[in-house]
Amino acid sequence: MTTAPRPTPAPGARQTSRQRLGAYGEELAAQHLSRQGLTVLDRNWRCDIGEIDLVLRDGSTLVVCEVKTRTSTAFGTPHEAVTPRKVARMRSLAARWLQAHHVRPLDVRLDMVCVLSPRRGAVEIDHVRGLT
Amino acid sequence: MHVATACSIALVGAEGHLIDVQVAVSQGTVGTFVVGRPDASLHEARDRVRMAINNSAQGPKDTWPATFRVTILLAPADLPKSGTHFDLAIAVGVRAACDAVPASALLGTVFIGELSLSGSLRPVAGVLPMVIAASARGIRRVFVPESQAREAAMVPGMEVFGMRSLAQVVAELRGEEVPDAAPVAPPVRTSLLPAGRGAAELLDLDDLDGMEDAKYALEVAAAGGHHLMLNGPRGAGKTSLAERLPTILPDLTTDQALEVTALHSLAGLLRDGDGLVHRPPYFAPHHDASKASVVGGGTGRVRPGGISRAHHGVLFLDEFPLFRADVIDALRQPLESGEITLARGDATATFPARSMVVLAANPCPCGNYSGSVDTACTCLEPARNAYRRKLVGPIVDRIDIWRDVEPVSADAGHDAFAPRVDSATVRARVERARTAQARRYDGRSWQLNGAVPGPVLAREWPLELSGQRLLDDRLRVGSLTRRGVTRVQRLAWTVADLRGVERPGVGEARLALDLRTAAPLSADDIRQAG
Repeated sequence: MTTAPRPTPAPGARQTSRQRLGAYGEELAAQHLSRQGLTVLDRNWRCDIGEIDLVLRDGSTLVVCEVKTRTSTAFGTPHEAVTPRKVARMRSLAARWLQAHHVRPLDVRLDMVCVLSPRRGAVEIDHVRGLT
Repeated sequence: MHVATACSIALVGAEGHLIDVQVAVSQGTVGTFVVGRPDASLHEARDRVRMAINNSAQGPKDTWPATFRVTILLAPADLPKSGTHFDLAIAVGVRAACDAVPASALLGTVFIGELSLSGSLRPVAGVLPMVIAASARGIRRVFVPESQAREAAMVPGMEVFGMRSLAQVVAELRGEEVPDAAPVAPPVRTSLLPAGRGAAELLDLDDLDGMEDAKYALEVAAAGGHHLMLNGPRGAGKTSLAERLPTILPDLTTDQALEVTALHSLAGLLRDGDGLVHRPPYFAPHHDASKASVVGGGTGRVRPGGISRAHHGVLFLDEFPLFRADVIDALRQPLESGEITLARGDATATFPARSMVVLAANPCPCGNYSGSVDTACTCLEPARNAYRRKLVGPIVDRIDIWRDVEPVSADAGHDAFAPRVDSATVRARVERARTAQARRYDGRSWQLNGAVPGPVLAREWPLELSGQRLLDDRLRVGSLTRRGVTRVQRLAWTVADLRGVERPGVGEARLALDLRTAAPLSADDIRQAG
């Protein structure tokens, strides 16, 4: 697991295959959540302690969302990749985002979207609300 | 959210508690959490159960719910739990929470067994006490490892499923055809010496020549449940006598047999194919034995010690003065109350421990001392004194019968006219005496003379006036203490029961007094017994 934020790729720079997969998953996740009625506020927001994949609004609730994309479950499900430590980091990232944008929502929720995109076969998207 | 409950049993000492293993499979941060005071061996159940489920899966839908948060609660949550036998209940609970097993199939059913990574069901210690506890709580259906089905089936009215693997258990619960599985080999303990088992059945009182008054003392001890002390030089036959005491004790009643078998199951002594223990057990720890091995103990899961293994049987302490002081001290409570309580930081375990105690002591550390001038003893006088000083204290105080065992002379046993008495004959007499006691103490909490509380005995079952007068005289002279009087009264009742006398008179009182004070018995007294 990376603890330092990944370097921002320069615009137009070549992405690695892992980065391409991640970006693809995030795009799918954003579309999926939009269809569910959530509003995307921010994507790939970075600060000195890390990156938030998606920031959304679900009614009066601000949603900070982590997207995990995998091509197979051979090394565990995407769900398992979100550890309690990762959730703790998402929580402090959410605080940073609120501070930076001077937003005071009624409620803040941490979600994850797991995208399983096997080499052949249909893509599976699972949205898990309210990580604790 | 899906929740399912499967039941298992937690053992605290010999006591079983019904445990609800609740499994919740919910969305959230993925992980498996075992709550409800599990110990290390139970925490590891997460890994065993997960792999067992995955390796017995028929398809991708049967695998562990790896995209969910799995919370496993062992309720009541305040009772500390230990052991690997919860695996099966956890696994079944997880499958039920995933809707793979109908929740209704788990009702009124207890699951016991350890799972291996391949999903096979392994035997665990203590199945019988667990099933007894389940039965007491009204459970009528139990799943156990196949090799322990026999043990579980000893409990009357219990429907027992002996299974080889998790897949078999799940199929049975679903009402499907049970798949075949490789048999799980029970843990095998191989002894280098083929003897041992079965040797005890060959013992008979008839093997011993002479020693009439020691044999009579054994008979009285067996009839009334009195503790016994054998004093004598090395090689006089103290051990031979003690190990034949179980042969003249009656068979255990069904309840007693269940208790003893349950204790042996807890101690991990039962082997595959062993039935109910129906003969009184015999246990003789070495004098170097630790406190934990004699009275029970151990870290984490508390195990019964020798005194509980000899429950309803005979505990023989050879070379009693050489036993460690803490062991002797720890024996005091079980001798008084018939059970042993082991206090731990978070729980107290209680095991039944009502056995007859036989102590043996040599006259000196080397064991050769005799009163004569040409004694072969090589001990120094202070060593002899120190050895004898150990023969006082709370345990020795509870001994009713004292016997000096002398080496049998060479021509004993050659007397063709001497009546030979085998164990079966004596056992019949003991049983008759015990029947008389059972009739007398009907409805009381004790059944044997050795256990009657002193005041109750003096009030409700006094001796004949002549016998009582004899004891009062001894008390007045000071050769008998008040406690001693109570012990002699109990012995006198046992002697009377053996003789078939209605109420102990002066003859029974005198014989009881002789038994108590290690005085030699007259041949007439002994013969009157039969």
